[in-house]
Amino acid sequence: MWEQRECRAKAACAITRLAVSGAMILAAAACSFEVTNPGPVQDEFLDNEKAFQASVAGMAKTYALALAGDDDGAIVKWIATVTREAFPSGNQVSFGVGPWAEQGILSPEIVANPWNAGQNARWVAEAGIERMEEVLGAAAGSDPLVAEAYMWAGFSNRLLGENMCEAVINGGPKESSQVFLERAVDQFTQSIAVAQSAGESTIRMAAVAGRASVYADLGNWSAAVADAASVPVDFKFGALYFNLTEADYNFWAWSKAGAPFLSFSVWNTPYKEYGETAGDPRVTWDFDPDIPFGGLSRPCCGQVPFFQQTKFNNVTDPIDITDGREMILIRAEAMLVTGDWATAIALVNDDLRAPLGLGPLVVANLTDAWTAFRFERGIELWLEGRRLNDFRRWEAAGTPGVYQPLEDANNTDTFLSPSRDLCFPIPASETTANPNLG
Amino acid sequence: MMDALVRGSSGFSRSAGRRMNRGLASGALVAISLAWAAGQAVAQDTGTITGLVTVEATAQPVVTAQLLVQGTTIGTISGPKGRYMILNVPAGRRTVLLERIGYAGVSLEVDVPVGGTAVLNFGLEEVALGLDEIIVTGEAGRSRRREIGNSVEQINVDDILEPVVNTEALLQGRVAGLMISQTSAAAGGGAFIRLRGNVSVTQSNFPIIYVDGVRIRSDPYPSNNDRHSRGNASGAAASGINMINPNDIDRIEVIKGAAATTLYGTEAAAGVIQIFTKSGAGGGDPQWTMQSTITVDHMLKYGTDDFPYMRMKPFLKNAFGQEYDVSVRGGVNDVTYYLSGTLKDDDGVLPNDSEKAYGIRGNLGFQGINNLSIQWNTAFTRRDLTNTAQTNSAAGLPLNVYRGDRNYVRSDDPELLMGLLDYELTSRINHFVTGMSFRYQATSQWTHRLVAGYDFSFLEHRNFKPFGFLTDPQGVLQNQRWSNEILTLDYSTAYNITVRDGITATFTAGGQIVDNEENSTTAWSSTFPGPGRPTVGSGAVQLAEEDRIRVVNAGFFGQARFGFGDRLFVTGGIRFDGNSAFGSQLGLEAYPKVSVSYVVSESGFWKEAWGQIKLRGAWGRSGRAPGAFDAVKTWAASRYGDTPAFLPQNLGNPDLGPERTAEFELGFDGSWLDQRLSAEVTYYRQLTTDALFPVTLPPSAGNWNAQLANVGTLRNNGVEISVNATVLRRNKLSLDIGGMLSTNHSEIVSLGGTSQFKMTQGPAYVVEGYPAPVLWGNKVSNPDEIADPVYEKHFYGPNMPTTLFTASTTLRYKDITLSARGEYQGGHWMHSRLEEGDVQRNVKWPPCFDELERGVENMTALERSYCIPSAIKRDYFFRSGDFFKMRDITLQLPIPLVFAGGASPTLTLSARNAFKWTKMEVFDPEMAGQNGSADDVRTIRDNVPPPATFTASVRVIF
Repeated sequence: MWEQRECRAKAACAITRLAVSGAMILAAAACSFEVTNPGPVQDEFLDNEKAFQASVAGMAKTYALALAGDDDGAIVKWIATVTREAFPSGNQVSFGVGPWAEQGILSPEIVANPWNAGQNARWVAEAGIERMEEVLGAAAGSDPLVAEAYMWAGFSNRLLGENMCEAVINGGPKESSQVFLERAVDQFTQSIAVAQSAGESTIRMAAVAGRASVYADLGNWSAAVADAASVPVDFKFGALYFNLTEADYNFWAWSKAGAPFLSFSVWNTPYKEYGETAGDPRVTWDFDPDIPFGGLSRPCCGQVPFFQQTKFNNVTDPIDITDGREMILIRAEAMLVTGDWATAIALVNDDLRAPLGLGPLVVANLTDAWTAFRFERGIELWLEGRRLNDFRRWEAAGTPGVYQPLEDANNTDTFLSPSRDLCFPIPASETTANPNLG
Repeated sequence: MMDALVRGSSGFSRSAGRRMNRGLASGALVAISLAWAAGQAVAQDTGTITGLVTVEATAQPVVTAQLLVQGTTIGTISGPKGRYMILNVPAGRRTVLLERIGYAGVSLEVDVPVGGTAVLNFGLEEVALGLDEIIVTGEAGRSRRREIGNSVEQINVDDILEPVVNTEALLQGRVAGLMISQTSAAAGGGAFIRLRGNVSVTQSNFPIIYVDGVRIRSDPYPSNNDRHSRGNASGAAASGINMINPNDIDRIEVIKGAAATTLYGTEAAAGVIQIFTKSGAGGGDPQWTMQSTITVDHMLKYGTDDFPYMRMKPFLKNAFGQEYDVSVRGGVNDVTYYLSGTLKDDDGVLPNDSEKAYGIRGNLGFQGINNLSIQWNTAFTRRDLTNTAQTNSAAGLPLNVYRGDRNYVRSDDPELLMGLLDYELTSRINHFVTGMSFRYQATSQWTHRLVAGYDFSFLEHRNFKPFGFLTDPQGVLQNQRWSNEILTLDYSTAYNITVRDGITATFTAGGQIVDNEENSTTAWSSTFPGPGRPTVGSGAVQLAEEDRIRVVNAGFFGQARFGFGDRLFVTGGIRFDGNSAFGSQLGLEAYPKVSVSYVVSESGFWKEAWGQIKLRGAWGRSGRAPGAFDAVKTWAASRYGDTPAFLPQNLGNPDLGPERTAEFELGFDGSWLDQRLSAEVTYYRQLTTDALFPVTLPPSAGNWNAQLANVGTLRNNGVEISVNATVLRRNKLSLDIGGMLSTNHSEIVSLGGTSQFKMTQGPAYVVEGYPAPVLWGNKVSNPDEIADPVYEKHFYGPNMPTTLFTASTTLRYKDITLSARGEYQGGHWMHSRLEEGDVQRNVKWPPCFDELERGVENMTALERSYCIPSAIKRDYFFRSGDFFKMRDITLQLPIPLVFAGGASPTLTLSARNAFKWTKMEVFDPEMAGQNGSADDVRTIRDNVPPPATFTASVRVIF
């Protein structure tokens, strides 16, 4: 009854009541909208100096993933397939590269993963450096983590510069792939300087070795030799892999697992016969009669005999990204470039082959020396993701010498296309998302 | 009192002792918690009302009609053979109100003698239109159907003959515009559910689900997938809606689009399904229902004549199951109750599959305080599932069997393949839901309603490959414990006034908070030291993960409805919502609505011969919130060996808001020929703006997850037509037929400047001007040439059915009823990843045997494209998804036994999915899903199709 007494205007009364009710509900609701869920790390937390170690570890990890960790990215499998360091024998999707890349064709539609992974490694390192320098100020010049960050930025740019046909930086326009290499030189140089100040000798040496290889890529042989000569032959620096999740595994060790994929074989590659006959510890493979074939028949050649590489047997095996032995190769190649083939081959024989108990390379002229050297470099850096760039720069420079028969795209036995690609084009994932590429 | 009842109820030959026992049992169950209510005074001068409820035209009994003595809270529900009895009715002249979906409401007066029994029989008139039925879902309070401007579907479970396997099966083929499609034969697997197609391409399209006003989980539960070993999955996802025992359900209301779901706000664009469970009724004897059901699942043939079941035959079994249900409903004084229990033990057709489940429910009503009614409903269900690994899993049984000797076992020997069955996939799902609703009638004009509810799902998956297992010899064990808690607080108030003669107004307002928290802890280990049954701590490699996600959605609304002459109703309303997943720059989101309903047949100019027609039109908006982390810039915590590491994750978008779906629908409900013919016709058109599309950043700017942005626009439109006709209506014989047609056509209107993108499963893309999503891949352009195939890119069509059609019929002769219902889904395409993967692996594909015998040189390009591994192309094997299945054929007949008390059991025999037709040559469109129903695109995977289920059930109500 009370509402009849107090609310003569019923509609007004109702509206008042509704408004009061709504306000109560709103008040109850409004205080509950702020929710912070645990797990993902908010961006501003990375500004904390104590988080820099994890940021740099992220740089190392993204590089390791781009090289040979993540099945989707793992550029080593693409390079090995196109250069016939290995022959695909498993699934064309999981652990594979697809039918076109198996023939050496790297079209923009299929190469998104290696491009994306490589660019991610570069971006993570460069963005991390920017953040660290902003937070640290002048102290960045002697901070060991900054030195390491520059080193990872250098290696990431080297990976891109050696393998991508063209460069794109941070959503910008298309540029020459040399841009990646030039950035790598600058970043290695910065790393060397900061590491020197910080007393980080390993990082400094890795950066020097990395810069030597990039100078070689750029054809700056004098600078390359100068850097290479300062690196001890037993120096090694690798990307690390771990027995954690599949993404942390060394791709080569994991992809040969009998279950489930049996993805790459040494069959029909130059390394099969060499590994069988040379007794070279750098090229080893094995055959298990219980696993006679790879996981998937190929359109080209049916079931592929499964000759599994044993260079990387454990998922925790690191992959060298630079070492002193590569420096010997750089010095030898610099000599070949000048025509001093005898000294070059002698250097290879004395400093690379003899310590392994291998007989010397015997050559009679510059062309033979180049042919032998080219394969020797393939042997030394087998499955480490460097072979495509070697083919590319040798083709570009008109280097003397010939391919091994089973890596020559003009040899039909390789099942490669004669128009094999020697670099990765900018993928559709970049061209469609980057307005500067129209 | 007891003697008087016995004397007065001569039509009920129950013994007093038996009734007393039942009364004591049921009374004891409620007395403890309801002692205060029992203290209410019981009228001393009372009598009993008893009688029959039948259909006037056919004299068929009507069960579960709700009877209420006007002006009191005393009532009951009609039982078997339409009988009812209301006790403790105050003596004197009384009016009894009767309501039952599908029949016109009736009120009759009767004189109740002190201590005696009055007989009052009801003859009901079937109504096809049900204009005065009460609808709750989508309404701010209780509304009559005549007042509502949008389409609402209502299913009365008592009208369903067949023993219902689960709640999804109950809904399947019964609601226009509702697509429910199974994904495999996996025990406990849930179905793919869509109402009016996809309203989103990145967010969930599952309608939200309420049970008695309490929000429960609507998305599928997580699948039992090994999160670290590549591609090992159960291929099935259980669903929350199936945790509700279908035997507990009284009715279901379904509202389909934004025009109807506005008052549910941000999360309701894909529709709302509300389940109402049974409740008790005071005043009568307790009503017991007991049901015993046995089932046999049998796999219908698939594959080819030469390779039936595609080599799976040795692994499939006829699966036997049994289920026992018991329930009691009634009331004591001001307390009503419904209590039930169920026990289920089913095998699956796959060798490792089984399901064991039990559930209990208690629904209690209190009406002892002035003008306040309280309903407290609680249920608990436990399901233990064992599954065989299916789908694209290296350890999956169907995958390895379908691939012949080109599999991961490297043999097609069934003995060797049996080794895969050592892979153990077990799941325990506990579901608890409780809700208390208060309804307070402050005055005759003003009501308040408050619902507080809690829904808790707990799931434990164990995923175990023992030491020495075929594909993981070192062994793997994963244990995932996942939970989902949903708290609902929902308040609404309604105020009715008469503005002037013939003009009424109802003002409603309210608010709602839904707090949804999902937690998951996963422990994984591998490399066990040796055989045996390990724990996660036994492996040399151990990993742990934890995910915790909480989303809060809250809002308030207001609505005004004006009625003119009780035949024209105009409604306007608005809801304001906030959501914790919105970007920091976004405030409250507004969702308006307006609707008109006009019962034109009650206008003066209308002639009775023109039938009864209600015209309706509605427009409204609703939304779909982004994911919990989509608006925030975040990095993923990872590690590089022993060192923690940050990796890019989400770039974040502070402006991120909900997808906004506006829907317009127009239609009519009509009945003609003395209610023998009825139809509902609806046209709808939905436009989702600000659709959340992934804006892919250039990879050269970091490999962030594609950032969602409110940029897209997509459209859905279609027609829904339901027609039911009573062809024959005699005392002993009646024949009803029905048909339901619904169409759905979607289109991506605008990508908002982003690039077309691929969905997560299969070659399904979001492309401007095409359905959402469209299957896009390769097509052979020279099919008939004797040559290698030449491929060209081709848009095949939508992945969602564009046409759903259900035909049903019910034939009744005396107490015997035969019904049948078939469903067609069509107009869509599916990609067969299964066939593509197998042919690619040089599996000698059974459908190609004839072609291969002729030799490659004699094959056409089309034949080579699906038989010759070197000629096939990825993204090629597209199949029409059209199919028809006989969803049920059911015969119900009485068993000629009469138990003490007059109860007679009923036997129901039913066959579900016993006949199918499909355009697929080898497989079945309902064997889709890498993650069961959780996939956004339906793709044929290495599953086995759902089996036919044959059921025999005996039910007795007394």
